Amino acid sequence: MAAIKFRNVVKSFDDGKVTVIPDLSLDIKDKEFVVLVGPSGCGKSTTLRMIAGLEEISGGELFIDDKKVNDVAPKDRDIAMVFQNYALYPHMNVYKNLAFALRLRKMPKKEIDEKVRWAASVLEIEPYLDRKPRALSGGQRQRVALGRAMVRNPKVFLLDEPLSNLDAKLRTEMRSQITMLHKRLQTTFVYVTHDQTEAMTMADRIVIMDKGVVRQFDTPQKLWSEPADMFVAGFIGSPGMNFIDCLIVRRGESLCAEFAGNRLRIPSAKVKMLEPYEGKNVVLGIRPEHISAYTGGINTRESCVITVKADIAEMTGGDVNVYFNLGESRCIARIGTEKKISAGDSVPLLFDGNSAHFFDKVTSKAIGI
Amino acid sequence: MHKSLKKYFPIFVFPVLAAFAVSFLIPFAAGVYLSFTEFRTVDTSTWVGLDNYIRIFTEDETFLNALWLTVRFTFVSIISVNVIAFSLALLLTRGLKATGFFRTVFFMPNLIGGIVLGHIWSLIINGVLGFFGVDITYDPSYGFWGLVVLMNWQMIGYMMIIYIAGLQNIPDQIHEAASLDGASPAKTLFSITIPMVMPSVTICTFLTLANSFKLFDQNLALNGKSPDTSLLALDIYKTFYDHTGLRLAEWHGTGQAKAVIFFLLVAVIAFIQLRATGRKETEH
Amino acid sequence: MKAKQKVFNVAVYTVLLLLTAVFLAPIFIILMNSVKGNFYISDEPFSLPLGEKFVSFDNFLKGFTQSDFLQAFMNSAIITVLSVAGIVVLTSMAAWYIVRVKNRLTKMLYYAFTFSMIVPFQMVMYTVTYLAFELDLNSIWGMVFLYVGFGSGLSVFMFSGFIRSIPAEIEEAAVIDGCDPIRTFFLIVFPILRPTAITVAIVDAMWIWNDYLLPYLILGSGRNRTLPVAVQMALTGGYGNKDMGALMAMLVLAIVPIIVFYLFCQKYIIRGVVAGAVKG
Repeated sequence: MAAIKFRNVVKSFDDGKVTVIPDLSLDIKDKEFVVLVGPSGCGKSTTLRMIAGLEEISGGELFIDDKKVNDVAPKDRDIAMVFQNYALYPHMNVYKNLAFALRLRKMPKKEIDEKVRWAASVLEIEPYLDRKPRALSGGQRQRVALGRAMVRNPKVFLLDEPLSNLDAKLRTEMRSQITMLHKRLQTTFVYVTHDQTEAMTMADRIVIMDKGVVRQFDTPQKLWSEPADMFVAGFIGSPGMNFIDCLIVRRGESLCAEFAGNRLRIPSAKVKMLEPYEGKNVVLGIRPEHISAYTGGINTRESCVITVKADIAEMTGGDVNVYFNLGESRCIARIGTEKKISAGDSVPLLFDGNSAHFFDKVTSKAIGI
Repeated sequence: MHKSLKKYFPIFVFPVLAAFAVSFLIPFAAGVYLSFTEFRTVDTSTWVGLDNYIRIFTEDETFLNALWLTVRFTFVSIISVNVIAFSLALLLTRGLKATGFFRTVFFMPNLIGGIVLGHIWSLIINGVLGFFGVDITYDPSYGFWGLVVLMNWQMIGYMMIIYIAGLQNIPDQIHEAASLDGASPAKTLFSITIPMVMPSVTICTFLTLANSFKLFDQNLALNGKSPDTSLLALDIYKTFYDHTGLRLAEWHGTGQAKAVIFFLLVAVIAFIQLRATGRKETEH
Repeated sequence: MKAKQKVFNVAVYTVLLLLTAVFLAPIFIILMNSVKGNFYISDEPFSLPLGEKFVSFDNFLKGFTQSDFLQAFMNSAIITVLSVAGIVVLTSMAAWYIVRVKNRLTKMLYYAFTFSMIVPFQMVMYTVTYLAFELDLNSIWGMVFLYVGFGSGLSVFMFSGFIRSIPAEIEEAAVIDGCDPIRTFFLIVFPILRPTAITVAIVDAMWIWNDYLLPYLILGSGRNRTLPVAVQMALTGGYGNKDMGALMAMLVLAIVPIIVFYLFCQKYIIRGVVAGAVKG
């Protein structure tokens, strides 16, 4: 039960020679499930480890529950952490692994036993209490690691890529289990992953980081619908957003985006923001999901139909990913399977202008946000 | 961990470091320095430059003799120990029964200390020579071959264990493939088995080399009384402790200079070993 | 084919049994002579202890009483146990610090420890003896201190190698669970190091139990002498007639503890000795 505040936090290594986090400010609310996501080396794990106290803070201030913790030892921060490779104590059985932290705190034996059994029953690992970690499967080890954090009843739960060593099926299962655990424990969860699907499905809010900088901190819905810049837009979603260079021009009454010989009318909601860019190049972003197969139906004012040559048609089950070139941009459309498409086919595609995003070519920031 | 552990240097490192300084760092540095001095005791040393080193090769008659003896002894030991140990390993990896018993027996002498070992063999060798009315001091070659026999008795089991481990690492399919290709047992041995255990051969060669080159206890116990059969380590020891009288300071300096040369030889061997095993590891 | 194989196997077993006899003969001869009368040991070393030659356990009684064998045995035992315990605990602590705290000092220390492994004892023989006497280390405890120093090179090297393979996350988990560095080491790291600790303990126990020159130079042949020193003194020291029977008994008594130890922990010893050799 704790809020976490970063105030202009700096992290550098080798006596300041290498700075991984130049200036981080972040407010994580009490009981919130926050996921830190970004490509490897973006500083997300370092950020988590600073909360844990495993990494020293080079500058700025870090608060847990309004208490400055820069110089507080990890054990006095009332946090628990789940590690990527589980980090179970190999020489202790599951019971002792779970009880270890409590025994260090000199909790009475009976109370320890209650807590361990409670955690074991919640996580369904009761049959394995006598086993050593090496006799457990990956999923069981992961649950022991969660249990070790649970018994502590900490203010903050830190999870560092906890599912990345599991196979795909188990990962989905554990994802929902962790979400349920959060609901049940009612504590602050900070979760690090490089997998945007995990982030989108589990988080209350997501911090997207790149090169030590927070690109956007928002709800999954907002990140999807209103990405703050091209990095976020490209990172969220799979496949990522298509980016196409275009020119903003006025054609008669309406403002249009022209690209590779095609024209898309700017939706009225966005006209005002794009007016200053008239005559300039911007980046048009459109998600593969917002390009559909044109079946000859009604074309709204803000859509356009472009016929492209499909290079690759990738069957993914419910959808087909169609790869094509548009001008100099490599694009993907995600369309239904009603019509069979093969590589080399000419395909008419409907671009939904209402779902289009526009980014400044220089700053890569979303225009109008 | 780094930060909180850092302050614990006095608890975690200091005790070992203190012992290491007293038993190695300081004596090593002092040893190098003293090799350029004459000294009765460490605090009465006078700088003489390279005199000690020159004396080894001019005045001292024992060092080159000991070096030559050590080289011959090491060479003979490497060959005999490794050939016998490898042959035994071959016999014991054929899936016969009771190989565990043979391994136990052959390895056992390795655990007996050099002094005890030397005296056991001294008794036996002198017992045999007694039939001819002589003993081990009668001829330097008796002492030499006595040492070789002793070395074999002690080291064969040890090297055999390493060869067995190496042989067991060869996948069975390779032998099966060779026999399907129609290779004779001898052909298989020389073109498949031996090349495949080359890493073990390298390890065993250098282990025998180092152990023979630095041999002391066995040499002292077996040949302590006979002249002309001192290996390098024993020769250095005698240079320090068998000289008395007026020229003691000179001989102390000379002994220390011999020790430095001895160290350099061992260091060169270790360096070659590092290169050899390093290269082998990248090859496999 | 079958018959040929059988002949071959018989040949192999014959060779192996002959070799077994050769390997065991020296020990058997010592054992045999240890129950023979003095005269027969030097005159007929290879004859069986039969009839008048057999003196039962007289030699052992003499061996015990004459040479203060028991004292030397106890000295060796105490020095070996204390030194091995000291080496295992102290060098594993140092190795952990050296691996986990990365700075110039720990790097230099690591190289110094590794370097010491290749330096032959004769290089420091005189100077270490001098220093030990200057620092009043010519006692049982001083000997233990010196052994910790001499043993540190190989064991720091071996422990460091193993510690590098332990994920640092396990130690971080311990820190978060509430351990300070001392508890992290003794409750978490040291138990994980157990296999290496056993190897180091065995290699060092063998070395220290059998070591002759260092204890001879430091402790001399007086009250604090160790077993190998006592054996060497008894068999070479002094003039005139030696009590060969008592000496044979001493040799047997010096070997017996090692062989018993070997037969009980053979698996660990062979694995340990070989691991120590391959790494060192």
